[in-house]
Amino acid sequence: MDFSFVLDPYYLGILFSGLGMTLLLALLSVVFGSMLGFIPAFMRLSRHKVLHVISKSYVELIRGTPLLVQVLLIYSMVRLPVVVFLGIDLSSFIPGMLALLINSSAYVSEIIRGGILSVPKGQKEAALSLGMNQKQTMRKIILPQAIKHIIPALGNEFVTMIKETSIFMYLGIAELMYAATIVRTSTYAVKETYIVVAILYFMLTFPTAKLMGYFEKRLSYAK
Amino acid sequence: MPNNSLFKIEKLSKVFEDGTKALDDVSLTINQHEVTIIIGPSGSGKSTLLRTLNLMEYPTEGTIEFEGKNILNPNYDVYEHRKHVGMVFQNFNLFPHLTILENLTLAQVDVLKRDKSEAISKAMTLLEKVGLAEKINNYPNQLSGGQQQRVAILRALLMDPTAILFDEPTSALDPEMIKEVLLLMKDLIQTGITMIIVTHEMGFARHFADKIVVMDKGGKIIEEGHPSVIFNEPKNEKTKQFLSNILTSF
Repeated sequence: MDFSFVLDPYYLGILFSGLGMTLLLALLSVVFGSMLGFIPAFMRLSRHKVLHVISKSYVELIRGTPLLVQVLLIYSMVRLPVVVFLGIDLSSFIPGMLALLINSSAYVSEIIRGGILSVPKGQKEAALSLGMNQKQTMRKIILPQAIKHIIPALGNEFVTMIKETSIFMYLGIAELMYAATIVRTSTYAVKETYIVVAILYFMLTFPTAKLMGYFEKRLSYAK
Repeated sequence: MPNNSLFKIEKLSKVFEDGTKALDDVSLTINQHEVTIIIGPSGSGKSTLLRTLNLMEYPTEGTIEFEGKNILNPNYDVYEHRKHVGMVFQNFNLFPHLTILENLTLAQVDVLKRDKSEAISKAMTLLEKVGLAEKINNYPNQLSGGQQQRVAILRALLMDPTAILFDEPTSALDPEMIKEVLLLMKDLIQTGITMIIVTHEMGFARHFADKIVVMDKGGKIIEEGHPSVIFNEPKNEKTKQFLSNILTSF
């Protein structure tokens, strides 16, 4: 094994700018994916039949098809002129991001919905019986309790999202996997490159999992 | 003292989506400042009847008037109504993510728009009365069942309701904790608040009810009257049977 390329500033630069891009993609998809997840979650929880069916079909469809297919399909449908912003080609970045957000919102929505449903019915009744309205009940009573069930599952989803950003390689976005391809083809150190890349991904996912575990602990009130 | 009716229930029926009949043509008047206790075998619709009074359940037929207003009118303000009709649940339903003090102040501040400091001092006054003042910073699951239920009663009381509904308030309690809850309920009776109670505590019903309502399978009221009549000379055969079943001593 020859890991000497990790000492070469040129390859190191490629790998770390790839890591930076992966981090950016992951952050965007984690933050916006979670926020967007509330929309199908609340649609599906609503008593409105049409909203319920739309949301259910959306979630089933997204979860039942490969992310790669979704990304390539959306990329082929959303044709944008090539605009380079901060070194990123927006014509592939935007459709890619869109696909990733659509995908993660479907998974996150199921996590949020499950969390909300895990709160016993009596809690809602108690809040309503005190004259609280639906919005107050959701904000002050249901969500704070649901979050306890949402956080651990969301942590797993964040880790998944970070790993799934590797799909952007197919759109020619210079994230970590793309950087790996460059390093591999010029150094011929195939195994070594992927070992380094694996470690770099792990450096993102492991602290994420740890951080979520910390939040989980902080949120668990007296037992 | 002449009693004004607070709730006037007429020809109330409730059929659940699966076809079970929970209430069948129930008519009942509940007077202000009185203690109305609903008894009957399980599945007789006692809780359902109680839950229609604060619109946790909607009947499929019939009318309910509260202070002369039809509460089933689509324009009736349900949230306003629930401020005046509190509820105490079998499983307490305190909010587990909030401390005891927060449990008692949340709705005062959010619903009644009371000042936080006023809400706290009102809560503290009551907590001191029931001897739970040192628990303010505890979470509900750090309290015994009896303590939790007493806090739940205070939570309802702090809304200054006209009436409180009790849905089997002692059924989930260990026997040694039933008394402390019943004693608090007894204290409430003295304040003159209207109480509507579903319970299996026959001793309590016999001593403190102004009116006993007996329900039977199928959601019908089969008899109502003063406890001295219901317990000593029930007219309905099924009432006799129910009472003899529940009062059997070995």
